[in-house]
Amino acid sequence: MNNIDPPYELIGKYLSGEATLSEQEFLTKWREQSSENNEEYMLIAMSWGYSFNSLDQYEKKKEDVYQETLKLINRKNSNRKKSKPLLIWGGVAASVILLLTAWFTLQVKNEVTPKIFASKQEIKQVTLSDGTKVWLNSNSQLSVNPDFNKKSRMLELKGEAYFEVAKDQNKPFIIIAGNSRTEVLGTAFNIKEKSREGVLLMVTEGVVSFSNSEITVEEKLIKGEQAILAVDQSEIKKDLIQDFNRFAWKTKMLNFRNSSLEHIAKSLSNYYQVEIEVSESIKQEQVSIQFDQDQIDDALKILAETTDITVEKLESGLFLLK
Amino acid sequence: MKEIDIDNTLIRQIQNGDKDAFRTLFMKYFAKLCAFVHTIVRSNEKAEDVVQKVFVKFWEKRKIIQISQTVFGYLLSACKNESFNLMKTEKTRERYEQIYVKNYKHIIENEAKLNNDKPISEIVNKAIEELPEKCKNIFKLSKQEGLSYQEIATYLSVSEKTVENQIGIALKKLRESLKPHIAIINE
Repeated sequence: MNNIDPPYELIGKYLSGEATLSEQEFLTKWREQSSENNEEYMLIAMSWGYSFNSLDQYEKKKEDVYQETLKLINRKNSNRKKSKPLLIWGGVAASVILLLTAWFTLQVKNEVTPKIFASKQEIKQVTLSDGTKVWLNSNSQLSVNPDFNKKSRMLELKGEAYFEVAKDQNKPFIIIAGNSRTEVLGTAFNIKEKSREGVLLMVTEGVVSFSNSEITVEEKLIKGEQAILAVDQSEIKKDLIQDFNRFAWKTKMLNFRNSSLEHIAKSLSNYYQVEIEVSESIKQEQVSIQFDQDQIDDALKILAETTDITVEKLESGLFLLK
Repeated sequence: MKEIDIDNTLIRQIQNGDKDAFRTLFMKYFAKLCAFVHTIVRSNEKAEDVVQKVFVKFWEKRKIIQISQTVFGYLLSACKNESFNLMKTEKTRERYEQIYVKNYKHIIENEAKLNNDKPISEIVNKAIEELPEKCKNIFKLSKQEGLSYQEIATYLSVSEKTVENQIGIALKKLRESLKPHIAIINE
């Protein structure tokens, strides 16, 4: 083996998808020079590939995932018409996307600012002309700049939406929501204009720059972080995302790990828009459970089956957990 | 019984609708497949989703599945395809096709040779723990979080060149951590 170091930086760029075409060619040539070189490369690629893999972590989760898998298989067998999409980031409601995309291009040509509304009862998913996917929560509106995707990608949001922004390093993706400005290069995040405290941003992938519209206060956020721009625009409070169930409107799934029944009831009541009361004696009981039911009655049935509690539905529509 | 025979027996049982055999197969390969898929999709959750989807499809198509290689090899290919299907844009997909189609088999084959020793992930992750803090952080943002060099540079307020350097340093250390095990690979 020769004593010259392999081109570690170049290999790093290659493995991270950062290498230019000529760098890729250079690396290929280097590998072809000798079998030692190629073996070196393979070992580096392997150490890269196996870093952070934490097999243990997957080993621990496999029982849970297997149970979910069984459910999916059984559901498909018994109830074909109603299988939920397995992946929240897969193609949800493909026909709707296509239709809206077509409508979009048409409007853009006419130089009209296209607006997308989601009414009280619906959640809309659209794919923008740059490939970005947007899930628009109910009671929300998205306005797309006529120049969208020409030099930059600018949108205005009222309400709440989840974005999966297509990567394009040359065209910054900018969302104006209330008095906030969010700029990204390619990432996924949730933004809520009208939360009580101000504009709430939650980042699930990549890096996002979050500021007020004049950019006098600014914070950089990374995957797993959230930030609130205060109503008076004086500050941005940054934190870790506390409650991933805040995405439930999009994922159609609520997940609880050792949560109190009180907390679970509160989340269910928010999500299904019903009133739920928990009797004092069981409020602090810890439960791990997952909900993906369309109806509150079905969800509570699962809860009752998993725990020892009983569910009572009063005439007023209120649910009592005892 | 040889490994390959055990797997083939499992497959026959699964084809006859045996869910216990399906469970055994799932438990045997789930973590390994997730670890592999992670190198493409770079998120634990997405990795689990992909592997789950592969197993669901495997069960649904059990009667018509033809396996011409090892079962693990078959599952790896299926996972690879499923991962690429989910890459968000054509461009990224091409980028990864390029990297992985060429390499993943070699990576797996090499790992098989190391099997009698400590697991590779254990060696590598121990080496990561020993990296200087800044270097570890940058490597993590790139590999684990899947951020671009530009994004890392922006987030940490450093130059892209620094990111490049630090990842180079990390790879060098990781590679060196595998050195003592090289003899096994050259056998």
